[in-house]
Formats: sequence, structure tokens, C-alpha cells
Amino acid sequence: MTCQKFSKEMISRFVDNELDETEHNAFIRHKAQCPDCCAVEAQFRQTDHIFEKQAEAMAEKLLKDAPEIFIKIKDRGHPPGIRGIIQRKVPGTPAILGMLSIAVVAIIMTLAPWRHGTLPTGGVVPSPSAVVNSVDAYGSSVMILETAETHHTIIWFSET
Amino acid sequence: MISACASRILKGSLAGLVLTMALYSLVWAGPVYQTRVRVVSADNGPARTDPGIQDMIKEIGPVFKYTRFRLLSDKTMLLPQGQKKVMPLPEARRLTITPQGMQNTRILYHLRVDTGKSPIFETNVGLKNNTSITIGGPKLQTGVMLINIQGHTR
Repeated sequence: MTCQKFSKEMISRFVDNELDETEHNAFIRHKAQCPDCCAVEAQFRQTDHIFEKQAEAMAEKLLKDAPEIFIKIKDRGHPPGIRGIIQRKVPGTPAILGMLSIAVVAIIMTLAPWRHGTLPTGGVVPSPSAVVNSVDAYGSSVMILETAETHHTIIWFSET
Repeated sequence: MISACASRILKGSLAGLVLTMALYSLVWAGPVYQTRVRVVSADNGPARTDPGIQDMIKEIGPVFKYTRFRLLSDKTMLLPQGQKKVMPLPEARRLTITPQGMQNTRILYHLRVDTGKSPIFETNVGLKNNTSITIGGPKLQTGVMLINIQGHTR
């Protein structure tokens, strides 16, 4: 990536809908004329798609009501972006390659009341029992879950 | 007479030294984190939850497809900041826990599961005081292992 205007972290947050409105609109205007940033955005979207598919398969095997749970890519209370949580094993490796090479899936799933994709109205959303700052499962898939009522954090890795 | 006086002075000095050292350690020892680790086996045997993990299973049991939860070990320890504690896990695995300090109201822990030779899983988490996190997934006979880590500090 040669474009210096938007960092990969900013693009990652754009893909996750985490940018504020001004930044979001600025990136939309910028990418219209920047093939580099478009390529990074496409890579991130493709990775998210792969992650979602793997997470769905893992959840189906492990969890009750898996088809009904809402897979929440946006991570609440954690460092910016899923990509920030995944520890890169090789310094200097582009984040996306690092993620794919270690075959890690990190998806934050919040089980109801986000079940139908809607946030509860009013009140302060309680924070999870633990925030995950980094994770490395050495080639295994990882899910980060949060229970609905007690906001208990669960890290699940599927041992290979 | 002189020797009795010298003995009293010596005893007094020793008591003073012990008191000073105790106060010094209280002031400078740094934070200590009370850490409880429960290791649980989860599988699809006849429905059952062992006493001692009912609070934990009430939280996470409804999420998973497993029906039987058995407590394998329950250990509470006091860990000073930066001190590594290695605990044996079933099937020749081990857990290393290192409290790394506080970040706002959260206790920072580094957690690692390995076989002694090669790492299996590693994470850095910020645990809200008096709450717990569960790490699941390592294979165990017909089911999986759940590791529940609870942290407390004043």
C-alpha cells in the first residue's frame, strides 16, 4: 500500500462501520480516486466474509441456537477493530496476510439482546467482564463471545 | 548488669528492625491479585453440574451444547504483579498466569496454555475487578476443557 492518507487501521474501522460520520465521508470521497485504498478495503471485506463463514460453522457445532445468534463484528470495549486483537506472528507481515496465515477467526458474538441485530434503546450498555487486547491461537480458530445477561467474556479456540 | 542492658537493647533493636521490614514490605510490595482458577470438563454425558461451578455454569451453560459439567480443580492464589504462576492442566498441558497490573478498573492478565514444549494459546486480557473470564476449547477425552479465571484486587 503506497497511499499514506488513510492508515490500514482507519480502513479497517471503515469496514467495521466504526468511523465517525466526518471520517466515514472523507474516506468515501478519497477511495473514489485511490485504487490502493480500494484494494485494502476489498481485502478487509473479503477477510471478514471468510471469518464470518468460519465463525458460523464453528458456532453451529458448538452453540445452542447458533443460526439465530447475531454475529457482531463490531467489537465493543475492545481495541479498535478485530484486526487489532489478533496478534501478528511475524513483524512486518501485512495484517491481512498475518491473519490468514495463522488461520485465526476472531468474531465478537453478543448473544441476545442483539439477537435480531438491534441495540437496546436507552440506558448504558454494560461493559464485558473482560476485554481482549490480543489473542494468538497458533493456527486454531478463535471466537470471542459475550453472554447476554451477565456480559461474561468467553474466548473459545478450536484446538487443531 | 551491663549484659542484661545490652541484651534489652539488642532485643529492642531486633524488634524495631522486624517492624520496619514489615512496614516496608507493606508499603513497597506492590499490588497483589487474588486469582481463582477453576478447570472444568464439559461433555455430552448425562446432564449434571458439579457443586462449586454452579455460578459459572449458570452464566455460560445456556450458551453451549454441552450437558455435563464436572469440576476438575479449583485453586485460589495471591499473585504479586509480574509473578508468573504455572498450573498443571489435564492431558499434559499447563496454564501460565501473569498479572501485569491495572488499567483503569481492570486487572491485566497474560494467559498462556501450552504443552511445556509448544504453545497452544495465548492472550492478553483486561479483567474487570471481581469478575471472571472463561477460556474454552482444549480437547479433553470426549469433551472439552473450560478454564475460568476470576480476579480480585483491593
